[in-house]
Amino acid sequence: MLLRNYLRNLPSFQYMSEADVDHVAAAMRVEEYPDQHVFIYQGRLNKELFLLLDGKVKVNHYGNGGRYYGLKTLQPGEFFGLPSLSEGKPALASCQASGPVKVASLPFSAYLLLYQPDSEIGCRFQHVIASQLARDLHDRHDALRGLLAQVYGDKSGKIVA
Amino acid sequence: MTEPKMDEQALFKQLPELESQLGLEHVKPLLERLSLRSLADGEVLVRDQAPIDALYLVLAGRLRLSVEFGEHAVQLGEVGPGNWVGELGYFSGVHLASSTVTACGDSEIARLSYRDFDALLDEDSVAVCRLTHGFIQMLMRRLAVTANNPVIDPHGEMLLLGDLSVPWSELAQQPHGMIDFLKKLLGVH
Repeated sequence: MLLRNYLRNLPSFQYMSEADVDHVAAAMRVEEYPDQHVFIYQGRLNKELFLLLDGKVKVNHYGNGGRYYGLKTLQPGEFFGLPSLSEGKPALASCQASGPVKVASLPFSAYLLLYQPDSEIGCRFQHVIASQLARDLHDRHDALRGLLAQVYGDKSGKIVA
Repeated sequence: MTEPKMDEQALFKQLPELESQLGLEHVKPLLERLSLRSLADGEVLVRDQAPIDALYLVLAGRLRLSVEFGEHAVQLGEVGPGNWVGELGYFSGVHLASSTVTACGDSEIARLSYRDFDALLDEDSVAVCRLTHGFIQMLMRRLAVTANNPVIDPHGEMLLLGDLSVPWSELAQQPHGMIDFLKKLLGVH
């Protein structure tokens, strides 16, 4: 599988030119990782942007009340590691392989170069970043609706068994 | 009924910081596409999961966001002037509201349709780029707040702890040039 062909078919890359895709693909390194491999530890700085190519990655959060829970399971085609990388702050969640996975990674220096504002590629790369963050938040809101359904039952108010 | 268009003076009066976020020359193309709207306290701008076709910029007042399921809700928090809503529907591509948005006190907002945002990309990509940088900051803030599960307040309402609103000092900050690049790379702030 050629990484550039994979990127070309991602919906968030719709505004990227052929040359843009070549630049992004050239800056990424593709590797296979075993089950349980931890890409990002909550509370530690993350210095890479990851793209899941094959397999599943679980995003978990150790939250208030000392509880550890899953935020989402990433599917192929999703980027992860963004908030910590972009803000330079410790990660809010951990990301761990669930089964063997294939992942492409973009180092921090390349991320910063691609993100440069006021450049053509920077503008289009920001669209990719915003699309992934929107997808993450959309999934999180779905999870909150799921939590309401668990607590209060179905929409008619009946408690779900 | 046609909504009133926004003029430069009115915008700068309410949001003088927008000029530093976008740059003076990039405000005009945006202004030509913005329309004004007032919301009364408690008025609902959009319902969770309802179709949405525009981005809304808070000019004055505050908007309260909540995720709903039937008659129950999780209060996500409030956003203030300079922050937008509707960006999740645009960037996720689903064009559905991801939360119910309610005015918290009398509020003024400016509307930018998704179609006009796309058109702005062709006319002034720098303006779109700087706006998108702001949207990314807002999305990251909202992700950070929603990472925790909600707590239940004394009235039995589920709510998230944390501030959803990104302050102007952060929105107006643009990462410019090689110096900022090197500072970030070296972890110097």
